[in-house]
Order: sequence, then C-alpha cells, then structure tokens
Amino acid sequence: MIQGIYVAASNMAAAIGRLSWLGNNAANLSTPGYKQDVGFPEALASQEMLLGRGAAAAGAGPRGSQVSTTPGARTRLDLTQGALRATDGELDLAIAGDGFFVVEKGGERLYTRNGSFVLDGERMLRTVDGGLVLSEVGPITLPQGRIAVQTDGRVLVDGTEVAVLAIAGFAEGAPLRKQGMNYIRPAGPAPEIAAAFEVRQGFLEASNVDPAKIMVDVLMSQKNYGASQRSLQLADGTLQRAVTELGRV
Amino acid sequence: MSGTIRAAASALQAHQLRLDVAAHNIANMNTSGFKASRTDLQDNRYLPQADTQAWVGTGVLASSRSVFAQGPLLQTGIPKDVAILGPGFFPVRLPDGGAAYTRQGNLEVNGEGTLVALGQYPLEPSIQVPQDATGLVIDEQGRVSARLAGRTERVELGVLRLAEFANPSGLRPLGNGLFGESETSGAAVPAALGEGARSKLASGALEASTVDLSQEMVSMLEAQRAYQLSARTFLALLDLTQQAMHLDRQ
Repeated sequence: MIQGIYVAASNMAAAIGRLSWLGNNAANLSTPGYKQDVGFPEALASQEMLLGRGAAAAGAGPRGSQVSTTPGARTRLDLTQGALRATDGELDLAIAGDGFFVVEKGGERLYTRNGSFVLDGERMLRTVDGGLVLSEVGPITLPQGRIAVQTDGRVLVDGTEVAVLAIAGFAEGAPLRKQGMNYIRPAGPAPEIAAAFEVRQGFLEASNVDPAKIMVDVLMSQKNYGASQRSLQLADGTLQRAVTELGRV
Repeated sequence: MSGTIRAAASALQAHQLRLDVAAHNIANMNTSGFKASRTDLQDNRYLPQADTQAWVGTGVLASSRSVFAQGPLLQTGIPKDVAILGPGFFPVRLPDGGAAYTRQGNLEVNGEGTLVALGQYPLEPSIQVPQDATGLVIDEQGRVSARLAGRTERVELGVLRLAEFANPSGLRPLGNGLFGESETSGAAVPAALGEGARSKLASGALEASTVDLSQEMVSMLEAQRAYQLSARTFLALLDLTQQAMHLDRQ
C-alpha cells in the first residue's frame, strides 16, 4: 500500500521532470541550431529509487548522458541535424553534417551550431551575444566588400580568401552540455576532432525539435500525472481505511 | 516546476517579439530607405537542479536588430530624388547640431535655399540652391547642377558626399528614416562619390524598403505556431499545478 503511494508519487515527479525539459525544447522550437534534450525510459529510474539504489548507482549512465536522482529529468543531448532554412542573409551560416562553429567568449572556447553572425564596429565576426567567431588561426576581421563563404569554410571577400572558419567535431558520445546563448561546451575531457561538414551561406539550421512529438509527450505526461495522482489517492484511501477501521473491535 | 513555467512564459514573450518585428516590417513595406529588422533567438541559460546533476533550461531569449542591405530601386522620374547604389549614407545636420545619416534621397530645397533631406534636415556639407535656379540635376557622382538666369551653361552648385560605416547594420535607428552613429556601427567615414568610389547615385529614383512581404508572412506564421506550442505546454503545467493542489480531495 505504502509502496503504491511511492510508485504513484515517483511517477508524478517523473511527469514533472519530463515537462521541465519538454517545456524548454518547446520554447526553443525556433531557435537556430538548438539541439533538443531527449529522455531515457522512466522505468529504470523509478526502479532504482524504489530498490534503494542511490545517486551513486544512478550516476553511471550511458556516455553523454546527464543523470539525476529525480526520475524524469534524465536527458541526453540529441545532436541530430536540423533542417536548413534559407534566409539569404550574407552572414547567416549553417553547417550540414557534423561539427560546430568555434567561438571565444570570456576567455573560454565554446561551440555552436547557430550561424547567425554579425559584425561589430571593427568588422570582426561575432555571435549575436558578442562572442568572437574563430578561424583556424584566431578571430576574424572582414574587410569591406562582398562576403562569400565556401562550403569548406573558406571566407572570401571580393574573391580574395581572408580566413578559414574553424569547424570542430567531437567523438561519438563525448560529454557535451548546453550552456545557453546557443553554446555547447564539453562537460569533461572532449578533444576536438576533424568533422565531415559543409558550410552553407544564406541558410540557418533550424532546431531539431519536432513540435508534433512534443505536443504528444506533453499530453502523455499530463495524463500520466493525472492517472498517478488518482492512483495515489486510491492508495491513500485504502491505507486510511486500514488504519482507522481494520483494527476496530 | 516554477522554472518550467518561466521557460514557457519566456517563449510567449520571445514569439510575441517576433510577431511585433514582423508587423513593424510589414507596416514599413513602402517606406523608402527602410531597412527590415530581424529577430535572433537564443536558448536561455541552464540551471543545475538542486538535488541532481541534471541541467534544466530556462527557455528562450529574443532580440531584434536591423539588417543593412541594398533595397530595390523605385523610379520616380523626379530629378531631386536620388538613391544610393552601394554602401554609404547621406550625412545630415540635426537642429541641435548633431549628425545623423539617412538613405532616403527625396531631396528638396527649403525656404532658405538649402538642399535638405526628409523635408527639413540640411545635407552635410551644405549645398545652397539660388532662388532662380531651374532644371536642377544630380548626376551619379553626386554633382548637383542647375541653370541660372542669364547663363547658358549649367552651374555646379556642389557635390553630395556620403558617410560610410564599418558595420552599417549597427547604426542606431533614430526614427523618421534617420540613423545615428554607435559603437556597434563604428565611426562615420566620409566617402566621396567620384571615380573609383564604391557607391554611385541613381537620380530620378528612390531606394525602396528591403521588406520582403512573403518572408514576413512566413515569419509570422512560424512565430504563431511556436507561440501555440509553448502556450500548450504552459497550460499543461497549470493543469498539473491545479491537480496537485487538490491531491487531498477524496
């Protein structure tokens, strides 16, 4: 009976946990280069909690995953390619394939798939929030003229090569985590490797969020929560009767 | 859970901004010299959950910026209308003495005989047009000439000059077609229109708005759809909160 309450409660917590990252995915449906979080099967997490296995055991998740003792909040980063949307922006770039643009911000090396770049007052190439987009040898300053970015990352201005964009890849399962402002950073040792890519100018990579799937997942979590709540109330009611009536003489 | 509600709320605000920007662009579809704005979306920071190692996102942030691009030419046949083909802006003098810049080339002669842009702002450097001047013409290198009484040849009254910026998209919009210098745009650099210049003028024409109506409509539809998705998530969370509050009901 008490176990019934715990199962129901953990299911409710799982539904809330799922809604937290589902909600964030939904909010970033239109964010260019956004990579969605996807969840793990819930049964595993709930069982571990019930059987008394604590955070230590729960911490050993598959490579690249983030693990928690709150069931439902376990997610891994889905790096599936998003669709390319034409914008005709001269400084809009999208990567088709693997790899990330490399950005320097606050002394750190960050990575992003969001290629909506801008110029600053000195014509240095930056991200919208002010990070410096890096070439193979450092930050990029563009002279005046017509900017053409080739598929291999070379940047030409009026036909002359000015820089080569740095595009970094990571090994399968490398520990990567989102930092916000469309940046992704390694959460542990993650050496950069060569990537197979094409850079497309005039395009932006859409998020890889599937709105229909999110809608279904949100509804399922909602119903799940409701059903668990009902079952918790039943278990509670039964327990109450057992305590108050069974012992009556 | 409150974090998730804030995430959904952030999305509603962000997509509302997209709708507002699209509406503003559409409203200026026919404004000469107007540069369309666009919205940038970024996912908001991720916070570690108190009791776990999982990181929870806090939604999305939107910001808007104008994009400098060459607008199409609109032929008007009016000799005092000029459009800039290429980078650069007409520098003008504001009433308070400050400098501003514009792409709107529907020039006029004011009551004091000064050539002005936007009906009231004198061009910099100032060009005077005598009262008896007729047949005023501006050529593609910016030379302003007219016929004066008692003279057979045309007289050159002055030369239009442009100002260029390292990053014109970073100019601060001042309204009424005026832009101001900013840190993001870089300092104004005077540019001549003569031989070898990067820009030239087209007279008898104006630069039309860069707004692409079909693109803005698509933006609005996408923003609406994204808004609906987050609104649905928001409602689901509200429903859960309601249910949780009634847990003690038998």
